[in-house]
Amino acid sequence: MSNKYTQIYNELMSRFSTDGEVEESTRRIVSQVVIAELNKLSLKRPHKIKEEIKDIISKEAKNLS
Amino acid sequence: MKISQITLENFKSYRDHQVVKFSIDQDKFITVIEGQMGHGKSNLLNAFYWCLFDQYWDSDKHELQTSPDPNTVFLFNKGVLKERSSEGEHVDILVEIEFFDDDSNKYLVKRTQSGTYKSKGGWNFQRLSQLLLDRRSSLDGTNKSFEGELAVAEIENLFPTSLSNYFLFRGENRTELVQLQGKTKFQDALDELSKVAVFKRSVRHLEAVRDDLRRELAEEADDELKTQIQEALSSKSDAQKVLSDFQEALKGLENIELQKKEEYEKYRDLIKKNFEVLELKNKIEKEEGEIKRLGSQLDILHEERRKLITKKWGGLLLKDVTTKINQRYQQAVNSGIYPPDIKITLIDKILHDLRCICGRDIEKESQEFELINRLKEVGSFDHLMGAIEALMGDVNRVDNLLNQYPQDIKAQSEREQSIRSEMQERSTRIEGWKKKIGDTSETLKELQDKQDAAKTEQEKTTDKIKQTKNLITEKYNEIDKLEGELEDCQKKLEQNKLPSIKANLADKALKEIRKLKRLYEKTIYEDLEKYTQEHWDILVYDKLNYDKIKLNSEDNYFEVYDTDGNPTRSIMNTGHSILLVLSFISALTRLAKETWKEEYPLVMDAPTSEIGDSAIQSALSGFTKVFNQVIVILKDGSVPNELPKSLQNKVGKRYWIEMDKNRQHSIVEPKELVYA
Repeated sequence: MSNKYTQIYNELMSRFSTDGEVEESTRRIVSQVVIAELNKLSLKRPHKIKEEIKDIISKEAKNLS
Repeated sequence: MKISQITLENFKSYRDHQVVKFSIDQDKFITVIEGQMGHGKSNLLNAFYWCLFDQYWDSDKHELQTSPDPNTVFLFNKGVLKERSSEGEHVDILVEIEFFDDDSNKYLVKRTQSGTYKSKGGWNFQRLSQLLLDRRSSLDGTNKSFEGELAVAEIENLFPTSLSNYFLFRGENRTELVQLQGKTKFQDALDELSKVAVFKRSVRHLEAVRDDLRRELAEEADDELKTQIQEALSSKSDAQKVLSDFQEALKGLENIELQKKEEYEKYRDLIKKNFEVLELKNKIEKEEGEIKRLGSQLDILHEERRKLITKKWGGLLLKDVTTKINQRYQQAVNSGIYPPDIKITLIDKILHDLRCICGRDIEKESQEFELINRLKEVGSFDHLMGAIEALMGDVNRVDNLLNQYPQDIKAQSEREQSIRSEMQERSTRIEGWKKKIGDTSETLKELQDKQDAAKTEQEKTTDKIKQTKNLITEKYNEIDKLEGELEDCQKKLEQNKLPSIKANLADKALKEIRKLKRLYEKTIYEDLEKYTQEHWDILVYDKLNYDKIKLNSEDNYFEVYDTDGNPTRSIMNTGHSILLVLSFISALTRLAKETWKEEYPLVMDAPTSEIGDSAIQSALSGFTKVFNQVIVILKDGSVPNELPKSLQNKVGKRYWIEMDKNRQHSIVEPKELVYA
């Protein structure tokens, strides 16, 4: 599932003229958050998604600190 | 997704265990199912709704019910219930659908529901159905089973409920179809198929996470700043709750607006129909007069036929009596013995036979009866023979009559047949007109009043929508202001500490995801508009003045412009309106296919009911370009025999539904794949 969505997400990104000035860390967070949401599509209430997003941000923040 | 087969047992008119296989061949992906009215076509579509979504289309109430209760809704086969109505008897409904996902994994979804008979209380049905899903992996052949909620979630992932009306298409229900164009339903389906919802959820969740991180950040600040952040977060949370209420209210108002618009259009059509009804009623009256006149002609012909038959039998018997008396006379002459009872017994017997054959009226109506009867009154035998000789003259007349009889009867039968056919033809015409008239219990004035009321309500609702939208904008501004305040507070804190880094990263990611959402929405709206226009051009066989389709991305609403550039949606006729829905459906599905590599089958019941049979060819041609599988259920005769070769080659299976009325069972039988 995640492979399919990662591939589609990357294809989608190549269609948009995204801002080249966006920092790599922000880009990584965005991509991980969207793919995490895609993988929870079938659930009406995505289980523990906020915790997952917090983890994604924490990891990037630790790299920067 | 491709649906390979459906299994039915005791579900509505499908009584015996029956498996219907659909064509999943890549090249021949159309399955055509035909049948006459009332033979179980729509029950088949209902089996799909019930099995996949626990939904049931109640055609009497015109509503789609969720978790239908068999105690109030007819789900179980009536024949089997009647036959097994004895203490302790048990009946199960089963509908099972086998399908494959885009990765060739095989699924079997099975829905069942039971009933038990109690001699005191009658049939007692389980209130809820049971669902079971089996998945067989195409990679390693392993099986996994899901029950209850887990099965529902798994099916939702493959066949989302919000799309049920999009790939299960009920052509007979105009109101429901037009509502698919409604903003809310359309938006739900668009969100689902395009996955815009993913970006919306990402924004919402990231916003919540950012506020949580700000709360953590507040702990790092001095008391004054801490209070300021906490108060701003609390006000923002309150404003978001109110905003959410306004947005919910807006959805409700938009639904009311749509209902009133639909009501207005319904009365507009009824008023138009009212004028047509007057004309049709006159036509019916004239036709009924003609049928009455033909009926009288038929009565006269019946009378003539009866007389012809009477004459034939009278003639035959007269011939018989004279021949027999003559023979007896010759015997008497030859033997020299004249029997005294020759006339009375023989003649009475013949007259009795004549009455038995032709009825009592023969005495009054047949000249021959009288002639035979008078023989009894002749005194001497010589006189009798004289009378007989006189009768021989009549016998010649009878011979002519008998020779003419077959021709007369044939000519008369032909006349009767032609009158009957004409009466039948006229009655069919009347039936058609009566169907068109439908329920016209309301007067023109009543209809106009109702139309005006709907218009007023629609206008009032439009005003309320405007007000609510203003309130929503105000709330957004309030939230933006609080956001600005929070950002200022954030800046006052030390930026190198982890809580600040986290909050700043969440900020940046949120801005980027919002931008991404806008870009994505723009792309899908552009694609959707383009595809809808393309499909509209294919599906609509006569575009009249309708020309360009535009999607208003502000309120996700389509408008159709005529060749002069005027908007026409509000005055569009039903047929074109339905074709517009079909264009949306195929465009949405194409979007899912091209963006997310997800394909859907299309199951249609009576797709052309509202647009005319002549549209089926262009519709099918259009669908074949979008859907990976098409199952089309059609009424007898609406499969165009002159189906173009390009489509004929795509039909992989063809079936005929026949109803065994004694057993209350619909039988789906394979039909030859031959088109004239």
